[in-house]
Amino acid sequence: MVRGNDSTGNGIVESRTSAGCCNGTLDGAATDSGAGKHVRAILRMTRRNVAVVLVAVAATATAVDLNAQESADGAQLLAQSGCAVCHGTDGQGTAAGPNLDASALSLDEFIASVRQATRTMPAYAAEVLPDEVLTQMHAFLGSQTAEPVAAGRVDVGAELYSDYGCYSCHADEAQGGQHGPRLGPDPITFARFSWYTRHPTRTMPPYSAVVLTDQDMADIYAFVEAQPPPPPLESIPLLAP
Amino acid sequence: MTRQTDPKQASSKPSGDSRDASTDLIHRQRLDASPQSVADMKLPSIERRTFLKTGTLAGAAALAGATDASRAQSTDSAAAGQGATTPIMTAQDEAMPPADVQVMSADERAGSDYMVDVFKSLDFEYFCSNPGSSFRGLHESLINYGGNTNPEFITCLHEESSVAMAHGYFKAEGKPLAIMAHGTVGLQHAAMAIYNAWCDRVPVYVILGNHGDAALRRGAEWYHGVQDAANMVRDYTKWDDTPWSLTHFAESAVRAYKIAMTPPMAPVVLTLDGHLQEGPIAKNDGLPIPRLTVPAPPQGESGAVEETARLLVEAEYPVLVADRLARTPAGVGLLVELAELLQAAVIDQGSRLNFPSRHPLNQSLRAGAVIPEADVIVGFELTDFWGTVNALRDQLHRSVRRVASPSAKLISVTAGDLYFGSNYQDFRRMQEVDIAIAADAEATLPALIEAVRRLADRGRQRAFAERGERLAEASAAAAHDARVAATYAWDASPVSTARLCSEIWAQIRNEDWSLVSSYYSDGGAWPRKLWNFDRHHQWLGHAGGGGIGYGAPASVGAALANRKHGRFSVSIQTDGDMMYAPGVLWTAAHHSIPLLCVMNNNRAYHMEVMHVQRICNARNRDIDRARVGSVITDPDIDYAGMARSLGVHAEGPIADPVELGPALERAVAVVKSGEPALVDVVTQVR
Repeated sequence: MVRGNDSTGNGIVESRTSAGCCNGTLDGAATDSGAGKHVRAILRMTRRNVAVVLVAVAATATAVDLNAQESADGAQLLAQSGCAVCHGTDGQGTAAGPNLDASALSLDEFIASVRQATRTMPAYAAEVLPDEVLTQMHAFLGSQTAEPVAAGRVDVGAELYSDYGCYSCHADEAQGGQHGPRLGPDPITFARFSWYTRHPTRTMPPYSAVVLTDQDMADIYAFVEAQPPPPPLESIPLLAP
Repeated sequence: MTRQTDPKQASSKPSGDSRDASTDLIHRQRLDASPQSVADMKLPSIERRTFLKTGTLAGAAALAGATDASRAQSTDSAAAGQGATTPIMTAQDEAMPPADVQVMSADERAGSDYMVDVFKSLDFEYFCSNPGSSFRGLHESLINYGGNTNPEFITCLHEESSVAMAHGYFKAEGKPLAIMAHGTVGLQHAAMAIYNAWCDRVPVYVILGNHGDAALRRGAEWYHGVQDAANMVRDYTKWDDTPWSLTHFAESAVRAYKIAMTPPMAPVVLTLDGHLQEGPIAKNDGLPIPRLTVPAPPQGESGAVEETARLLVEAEYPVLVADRLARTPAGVGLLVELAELLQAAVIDQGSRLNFPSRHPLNQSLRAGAVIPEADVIVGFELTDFWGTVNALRDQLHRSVRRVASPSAKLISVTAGDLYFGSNYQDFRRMQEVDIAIAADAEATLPALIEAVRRLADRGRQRAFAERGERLAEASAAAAHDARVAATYAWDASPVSTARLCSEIWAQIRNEDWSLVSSYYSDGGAWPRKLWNFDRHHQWLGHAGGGGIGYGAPASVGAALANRKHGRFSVSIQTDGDMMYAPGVLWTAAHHSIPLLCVMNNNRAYHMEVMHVQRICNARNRDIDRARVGSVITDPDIDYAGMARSLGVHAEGPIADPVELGPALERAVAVVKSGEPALVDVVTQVR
């Protein structure tokens, strides 16, 4: 199995994209593993060379371990196939590609959407991304909309949010700040919240189950979700331009 | 040296006795000395006087001839010439009895008086200092001979405050202040602030007192005495000297100013010997004052500038990144001109105010999106070019990745390439670039603008216009998103930092305001998202070296500069920073320095909470203990009470956002009356 691991050991290849893959040059992660270099070589191709990209992606795709069972491997599939370049490391979307909300699509619809080129996205043939890979990817993306494993308690979550230092980047009311994005209200799905907290891809420190149990996660999520909506911008004269 | 002279003659001509007998030590020794030794003081004292003036044997002989008759009468010129080669003081000298008169005569003045003449020629407005015996001569000359004006003595309560005040003052005024400190203990206090100024490329003129001649030291002067005072800060100052005569002093004083102000600018140190300061010289000594000519900053080489212009004109997505570009207010206008010519994205990294915050081409809020798109990136006076185009991931195993496109052309324009320190690592990682222009960026911009104007044909200008429209839409959207983000937790208590900054903005937006410090907090990020910065003095950057304790004194120093311009100075003051040297509030009150100090009181060193927590996470243990050692509670500090005790109008603690506006309004009225005021606001961490 060839993995696009980065040197953090999180099994995630971080990738950056030029704004819109139709204009710029794609760049992969600055990692040194053989797989990482391979993926980067793919991603450096410009859209003018889509054919070359597709061949290269095919080479990568055939190297993917199709028997991977862990859902986290879905993120690796995204990375190794190059999808993460535009759609983010867990399919959350970036400036160059939309959120891959697989729950909105059946497996057949998902595969069809990948096979068909759009205005900015190249088509991926079965020789490049086999149905088996897309099936795993769809399962992973679908898992991102799963419900919490345990019922969250807002009051406990408020304490944990403070005790575990979430506030130090995301602020007391989860409204976000210079060092961390807004978490609530209207948070991302619990599964993505949980997955990212365990496997952050940027600067956030990882929270393993040793220091943050699934129940803790559910409680904190409940607290974040329970934050009141803000007043409308137009109702605050001090924030007028 | 020893010479036989009639003791009666010595005592009968007190006005001619210009011996250097200013120290208590020698005074006590003289009380027990034999009468014969009294006469021995005459020649050493005269020779010392001439030595102080010229530092040379030839000079001593020449100047001795120019002194008045009484001194000439007591001087054997041949012997004096030989005597100048001997130590300043001998065992016999030390055994001399006291003279009848221990004051300067009417035809004399102090060496430090001449020093004040030189300092006045350099147009210093203020000297910031604690008092210190090693520079008492200069202190007295400043306040009496110099009339305590230009420069005026600003009383400080910590040497670190003196330097940080000078740091803040420079960034508001564009010229340096001098600070005075003991060569040992004072400099030790000042060292961190000097390092901040060094990292921020800010000139601070450091004057150290020291008694170099061990034979003449009083008891305390041994603790304050040092062989090489500047050694302690030589790694992070640009130049230093220890003058051994007044002629030497004058040249070094002017040279130091010149070196400090030549880009890349940095602190300089002059160590002034106590005896050089205190010893008398003749009033009509004729010592010259060297003329200061600050060098014009270096422009970029014309070929490199032309090539940079060509790459910019041909680029599809050029990005201009500025950090310490705007050395003067003119730098802002130049960057605007270049950006508008190209309709190029600008990222202002904020060590100075380089670009108006609401200019449509300002993409600073979108830096993460803009840098990867760029095909040409020009960095103007960047402190960290590598960090601009790469990212380091701070996990258990650190990793790095390129953020910019690998094919992007990178061009650096910085005076930083002209001068480096070595021991301290503030020069950051080396970034490979395609063109490196070792020159002052602001001085280079006019030539670059002219070259771009010449190369941009009409076809390119149409493309530029389309690019500009896209950028304007993007920046407007980012600004809107920032305002929406500020609505979250709007009514929360403790007060959100977005609410804090919005309330301050409402109070000052119609003033000629200057945000003199908003160091190390989200209180610093929100103003740049929500306020309209379009003038150089409205944003003064950061500490440079990351040394906490900069914010409070730098605010007072910048407010001191702003006072004469009638500007309204406001600081967003973090609590941890304030407690390093809160006595600077007393300095603001004592000298009537108008400053609105708004406490961003989140009751912790929260940055450090984050760091400790990160380590807990990486080690899988006890995250909930990460705040131990970093929070500043139990008891909560009463900042308003502390400020009032230092003579400053103060209100708070205020945790209810509804109470904030009225309290700020009252404080603004105090500041407008010419005094400092503090409002303590209990805030959220972000």
